[in-house]
Parts: sequence; structure tokens; C-alpha cells
Amino acid sequence: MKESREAHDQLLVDYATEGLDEARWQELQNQRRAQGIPTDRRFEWAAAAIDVAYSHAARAAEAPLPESLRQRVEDQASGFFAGRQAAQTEASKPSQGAGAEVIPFPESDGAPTQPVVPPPISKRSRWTGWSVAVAASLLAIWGWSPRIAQQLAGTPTEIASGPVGEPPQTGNAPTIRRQQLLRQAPQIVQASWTATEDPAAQGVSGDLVWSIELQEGYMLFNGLPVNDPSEWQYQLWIFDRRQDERYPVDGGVFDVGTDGSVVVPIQTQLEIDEPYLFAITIEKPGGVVVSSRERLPLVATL
Amino acid sequence: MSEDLLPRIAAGDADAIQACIERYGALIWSLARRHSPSSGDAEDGVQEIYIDLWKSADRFDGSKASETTFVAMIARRRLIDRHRYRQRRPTSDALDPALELMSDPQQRQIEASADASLAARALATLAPQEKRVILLSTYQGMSHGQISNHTGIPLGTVKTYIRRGLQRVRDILENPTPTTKGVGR
Repeated sequence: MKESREAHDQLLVDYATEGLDEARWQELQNQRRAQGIPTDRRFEWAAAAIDVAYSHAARAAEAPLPESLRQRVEDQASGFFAGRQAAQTEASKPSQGAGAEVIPFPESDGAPTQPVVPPPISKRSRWTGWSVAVAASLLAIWGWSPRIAQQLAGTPTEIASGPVGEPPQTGNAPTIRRQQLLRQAPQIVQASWTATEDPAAQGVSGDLVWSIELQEGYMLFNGLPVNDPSEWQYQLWIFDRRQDERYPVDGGVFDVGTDGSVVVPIQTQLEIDEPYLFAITIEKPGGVVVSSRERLPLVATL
Repeated sequence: MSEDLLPRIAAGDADAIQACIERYGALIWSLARRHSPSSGDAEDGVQEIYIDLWKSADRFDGSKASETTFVAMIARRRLIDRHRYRQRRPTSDALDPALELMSDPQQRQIEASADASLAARALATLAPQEKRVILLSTYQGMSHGQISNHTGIPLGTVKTYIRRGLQRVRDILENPTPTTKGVGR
């Protein structure tokens, strides 16, 4: 037990001081899930306190921001808060996510804020006009149709969790874990997929579940076409009320290797606290950082 | 003690945004320069850190941690992840030569953060070699492997030093002694 605790602490310490690669990040996640260990950010807190102490001791924190940089930060802040205000006005529809309880720092619950390699903001997708484009498309055909707590039919084929961009493997963990989330996890949000006019969306159904507390979620698809990963892949995008809608979070690329039903783990690279929209696009192999949105078969709104 | 700004930012106070840039600019700039391989990279990091800060403002709880430490925590997370993203780190040439010579934080009054003061006290209780390893990691931003190469200390020992040291600091932050409880946050 002691060795297990030390190993877990070592992962947390490594995460706090030098980050984790994908394999060790998954190891940390697996330990948390298996042992029911809540997220512990106290080592990050301790490291930050040391950094601050010695920054001041070395008088390292006395040089102000360069004027040009300061101006960019100010401009960026203006844009950020203006965008947030606009997004809040636009997304006026109530949702489960909007009411999510904020996990206070440094409480030891909830999920780690960052997995491994979040791309720089400048490299995230810029989806200006996203809401307008999707809303127009869907309203013209089906209208928004979120459904919560949909009961799922049939026994889906499972796709195991793996590093983003790698072909999924067959296994039973995702479906089991998904069911566990639905049964046990608090702060669960769930919504069904809404198909667009894209050919890949015809006849597709399913839903997604997302645990705000555990930062873990799964997508269920019924009838999503099999793809050839050498030609194209599916990519998930997540919109969070806390973030500028021009920068949806990349939820990772995935493949569908079989007809019927599949369960795909959501691979976020940033913390998702108040999701309000999930979208699936079809992209080149490996995915993109800037989506053209030429093919957008599915969306799910909360 | 300065008023916390993040709750005001979370409430939409535009003046607090400007004040936050002013108050924490030097600290964030210092962190970014130390944990980035180039000045240009540090500037990109600063911009990303502030975006993270705006997004995280409503998470801050002043009853549990000092605002300065919270800001540093957000900044460090972003900078570490940027390192991971690029898979490269500053080389040992980038080490701050002042590390070995600078005064102990306890000898200077740290007004910016009560947490930092407690952390300095905790580090003062460690053996010199352990303390040095922790500073190379947390302050200099060196990877554990780089610290091992730089100091000649086996990697496993480096990891143990860092883990034990951070545990010590964590414990003191969580349970300040009666003499430190009076320090405002």
C-alpha cells in the first residue's frame, strides 16, 4: 500500500515539475480510477510556492513586462472578455454544464487540469463564425435537439482508449467505464448526437457522456461509417463556456473500424468544465489544428 | 496586504484586469523567461498564461492559497506543458548563475505570498543537496534527467529528493505551525 502511494505521489510530483508523457499520464489516470483517488494538485501548489519564494529572493521578479508584450496582453484580454461576453449572450440556453459546480483550488477532487501536450493557443483552431454556421445548418433541417439521459439500445462494440491519433483497439473497458460513469459519477452531462446533411451522418445516432468532476467522457455512435485512417479520420471539438468559442478544444482524432455501435473515449487536452457543444468533423489523417469545417457530420448540444 | 484581484476579474471588473497585468506581470515574465528556451518563446508563454488566468479567475479561493501562488501555479502549468509540447528544455547553459549565490528567501521579507514564505521555511529544513535539487527543478525548470546529469546524483535519488521536498512544503502549506498561522494570505 505504501509503495502504491509513493508511486502515485511520484507521478503527481513528476506532473508538477516536468510534466508527463502520454503513457505516464494514462498510468496516473488509471491509478486514480482504479483506486478512487481524487485529483491532487497540492504538489503543483508547493512547487509554485517555492518558485515564487526564490523568484523574489533572486530579485528575478522585478523586471516588468516589456511594453510591447504588455500591450499585446492587454489587447488579448480585451478580445478575450469581449468574446466571452458575446458567447455568453449567444449561448443563452440553460444546460447542465452551465450549472456545474466549480472545483475550488486547491481542493483535492476533480481531474487534473492538463493532460500532456496542450497546443499553444495560437495553434488552436480558430472557428470564427462557428456558431452561426452550425446553427444555420441545423436549424434549417432539424433544429437543435439536445436530449439528456438517453437510454442506449444494443450492445456496442468497444474502442479502447489510446493516444490521440492512434487507431483504437478493441476491448471492453470504454463501455464498462461509460456505464460506470452514468451510474456513479456526479456532475454528468449527456447529450445525443444531431446529424447534419453530411453523407457520413446519415442514419447515425448515439450520444456522449462527460463527467465534469473526473474530466472523462465517452462517445457512443450507432451507424457511423467505417473510415480508412490512411485517408481521413474523425476529429472531436469541444466548446466550453469558459473559453473563447473561436478556440474549441481539440478532443482528438479517432477511427471507426467496424459497422454497428462503437464507444470512443474522449481525449481532451484541456480541462472542460462547462461544455455546451461537441462537434465531429472529418479531417485528414492525424487531424488538424485549424478546421475548415468542410465536413461536419455530427454535433451534440447540452 | 493587497486586495485579491481574481475574484473581481471573475465578476467582470475591467479595472481588475488591468491591475492584474500590472501586479503579476513581473512575476509571470520572470517565470516565463526561466522556463522558456528563448525570449520569443517566453513572450508567447506569457500571453498564453494570461489567457489561462482569465479562464481560471473564478477558481481562485483566497481562503486556501495566496493569489500570487495561484498565479504562479497557473503559469508553471502552462510553461511545463509548452515544454512537453516542444519536447525540449533549456539546456544547462541557461541555468541562472545566481542560484548558488542568491540569498535565502527567509532573509528577505516576502510580501508577495505567504505561501512562498512558508515554502522557504520548509526548504530551510532540508539538507543542502536536497534543497539544491528541488531548486534546480522548481526554480530552474530542469528536468529530472538534466538534474542528474548536472549534479551527478542518480536519477532515482533526484526523484526521491524532489518528492520528499515537495511533500515537506505541501505539508507545511496545509498545516502551518501556530507561529506561521498569523501570516495573512
